[in-house]
Amino acid sequence: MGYSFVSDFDLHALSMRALEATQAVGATYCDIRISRHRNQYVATRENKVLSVEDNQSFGFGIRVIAKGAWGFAASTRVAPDEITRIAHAAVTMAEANAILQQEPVELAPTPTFQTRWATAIKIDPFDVPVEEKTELLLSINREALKARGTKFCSSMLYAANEQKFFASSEGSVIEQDIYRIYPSFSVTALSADGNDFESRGSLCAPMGRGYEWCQEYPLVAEARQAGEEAVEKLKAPSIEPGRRDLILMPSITWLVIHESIGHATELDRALGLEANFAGTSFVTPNHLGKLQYGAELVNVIGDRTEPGGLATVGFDDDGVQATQFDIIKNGKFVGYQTTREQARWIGDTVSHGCSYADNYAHVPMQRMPNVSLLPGETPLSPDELIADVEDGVLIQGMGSWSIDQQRRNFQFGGQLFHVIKNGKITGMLRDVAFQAMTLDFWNSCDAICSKEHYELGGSYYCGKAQPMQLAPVSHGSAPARFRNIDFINTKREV
Amino acid sequence: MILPPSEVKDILAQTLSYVKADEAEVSIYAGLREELRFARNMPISCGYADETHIYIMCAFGQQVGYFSTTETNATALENAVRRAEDAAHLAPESPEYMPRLGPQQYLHTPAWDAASTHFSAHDRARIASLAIDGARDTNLTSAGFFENSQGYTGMMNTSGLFAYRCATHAAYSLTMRTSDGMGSGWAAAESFRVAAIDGGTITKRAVEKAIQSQNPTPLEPGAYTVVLEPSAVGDMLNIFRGSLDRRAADEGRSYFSNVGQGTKIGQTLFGDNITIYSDPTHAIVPGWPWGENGLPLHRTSWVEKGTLRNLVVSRYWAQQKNIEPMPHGSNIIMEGQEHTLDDLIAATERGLLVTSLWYIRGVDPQTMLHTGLTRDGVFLIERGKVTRPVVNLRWNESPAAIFKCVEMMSRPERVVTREGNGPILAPALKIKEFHFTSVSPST
Repeated sequence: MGYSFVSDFDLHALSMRALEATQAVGATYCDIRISRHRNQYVATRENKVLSVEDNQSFGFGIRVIAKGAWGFAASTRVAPDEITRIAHAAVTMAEANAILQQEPVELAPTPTFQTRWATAIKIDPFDVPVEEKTELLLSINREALKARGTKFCSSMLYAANEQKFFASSEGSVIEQDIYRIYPSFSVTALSADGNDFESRGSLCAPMGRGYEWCQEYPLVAEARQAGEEAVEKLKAPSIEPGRRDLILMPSITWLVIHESIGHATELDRALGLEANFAGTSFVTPNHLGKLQYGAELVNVIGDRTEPGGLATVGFDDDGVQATQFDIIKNGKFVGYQTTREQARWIGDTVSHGCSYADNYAHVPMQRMPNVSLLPGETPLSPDELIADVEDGVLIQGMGSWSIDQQRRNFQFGGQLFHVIKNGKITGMLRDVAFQAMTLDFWNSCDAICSKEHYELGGSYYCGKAQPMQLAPVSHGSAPARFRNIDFINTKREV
Repeated sequence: MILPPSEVKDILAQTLSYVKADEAEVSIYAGLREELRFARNMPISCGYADETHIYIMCAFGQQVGYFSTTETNATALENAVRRAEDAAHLAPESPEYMPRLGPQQYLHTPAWDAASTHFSAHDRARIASLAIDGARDTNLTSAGFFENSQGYTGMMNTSGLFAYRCATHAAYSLTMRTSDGMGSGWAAAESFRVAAIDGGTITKRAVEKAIQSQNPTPLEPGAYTVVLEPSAVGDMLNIFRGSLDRRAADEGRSYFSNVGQGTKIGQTLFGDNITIYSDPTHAIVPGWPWGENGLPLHRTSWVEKGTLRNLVVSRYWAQQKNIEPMPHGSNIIMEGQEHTLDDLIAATERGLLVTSLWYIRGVDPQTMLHTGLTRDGVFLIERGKVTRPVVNLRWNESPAAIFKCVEMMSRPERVVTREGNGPILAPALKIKEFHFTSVSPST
């Protein structure tokens, strides 16, 4: 059977019912999202299949503005009478909150659309037989464990599909069919005496693509290399703490961008909307157009149109068409991530299209678009980056990470730490983390490789809001160099 | 609408009647969650979500498939069973699959409060208005979240097991910030009884912390004696319980791996004042009464007077090792001493008082080393008195290390942590040495 909800329900009739029901009881704005979420999770370790799970959920959420306040209600029972009940519940919520509302919610204008959009995929991951997926994962484990000294290998494949129908009282009717995929593994090497271990995780990024990503990315070849590198890491010397240069590869740069630029330039955080949970931001609106965020070669954009991006969509959950916009231009902070409600708070006339809810039961809010560091304009290779480092470390892959509640002080680990001495990689290190302050860090960037070295990385599970919502987001970058960074040793005797 | 056990049983039995697999397990969760979120002294979002989810597992031998759905009519349920069975047929054998358990007996754990089911949007707005008014009166800015829910969970399998529980829950957290952003206070509470959440008390605590923490001055990072308030201790307990895995220990990749082989069970690893356990029937922090596949939860000692007593053992690993399974606890409880927080401060010659912790991430599983930051107020203690607020600090520390050097404890209390994951009962701790690695000027 087909699993598209479009053929099973008269979505237009259901949405009209919601729009009419809310307007009849006083809503001045209404939108409804009816969505089906399919997720498949396949997990293995060593030569065993651990889990094959298919999860599917279907429901709707109705958002209204009534008496100048937001109301939202949702249900998993998609039926006409339930639509009416939930529509009224949404308005009741808005009316109860209106007493606390100091100024009415107003939305920046947007054109209306009656259209469809779909992720450009070649192979629907849900059409690929489970045996093919388990065999891929088991072959990853086999290959990783060929390296002498490796002991454990776990691998997993996660595929997601969001089928989303949006209709608003302003006249938009938008259907979207969004796909994402995430293959990953981790191999562990154990010392001969059994008293020490190190792991090496895959550098493969989750993508807004179909199963073809699992065929294009050399997962099995990477697994063999990862096994060997886990063993080498186990034997590597512990880092001497101190300052030295740093080269970040895209497989970790994405996370540094995410934490120190992506979240810092969310307007809701800057204005205190996340103060009770995720935190605020040091990048307050008085910095707009003035703050020297990074060196002049640092250019960062928000882009929900980037092919393969996890946050790539046709339209956001406000019904705003996906767009690309500047966040940092020539090192200067120039733009926030915004929704329709937020745009006017900083005097903008249009939203940057950053509204997203992770499912029908959660209210849309400002979430990160794909936020990417643009590659350098002049040809530059990683080897050339390395050649100009006397004493440094090159890091690949994401490890431990943590950043403060206003996005200044951060600490990152990694998967692989390569020593650079006199312009050459000379070996590996372990127990490595670097600490920096956001502005110091981005202003210490002195070189970014050119576009042929640009790659996406990303997270499936960026958490924000109460109740917590998880959003997928990608970040592109090319290898980049940072001068005089503070490294710490993470080994402790306990 | 909360269905009674008999009706839940009917739905689950009906679903199992479609099963052709050798074994199956079906679970249902249905509930209503309502919330109000406010910031900048006004509401920013709200929610009302009425959801039902059905989870189905089917097994042919050791070929196992899972499917979950939100559609609950008979046709959808039968289709969901077929999908789980299709997945099982396609799946390779899962060597770690364990047969379903037969009927079990569960402890009664307090979880339902009928009065809490009537808490309305207007009631949430009333709680928020206490905070907003409190903020305006003190020239602060409030941001908070109130959530209340009611729901039921049922589980049934083809070996005769049936489990049912209905529960209410309410949680409220509140942050107060000074208008210049130089001070931040936080307070929170949760309970299955909404009446146990006192919006006025929470407002008062958050306001006091915000005012006390404003205009901090920096302090050099390094090793300090600290007094961790109970919420911060709760975060350390969460890290600790996440490491209590017998299999990882047996495999040599855990803090609890013994040198050579095996685990450290039976070894005295911490101070003799450290006792940590789980107990689903605890009156203040009741927990869920069952764990993996419906295994009953009982009181379980993890650390007793500094000695490691147990680690979590999955059913599969228990079979491999010929030992009893030991499910994860549904709460975590640390015993304390007959002191107050003020007693701990008074007993500190020089140290830091830490309100809460934030953005905690693992650094080294071998030592349980984690990193994170302080939040909502750090204060210098000199000669037994809090003398001034200091700027937030990044720390790199391990609960395994701090549980070796706890000098004094307060009476334990139910805590909510900044990073979530309850229920937790924790005391404040005076710790001889806690490692801070850099300064964070953020508030």
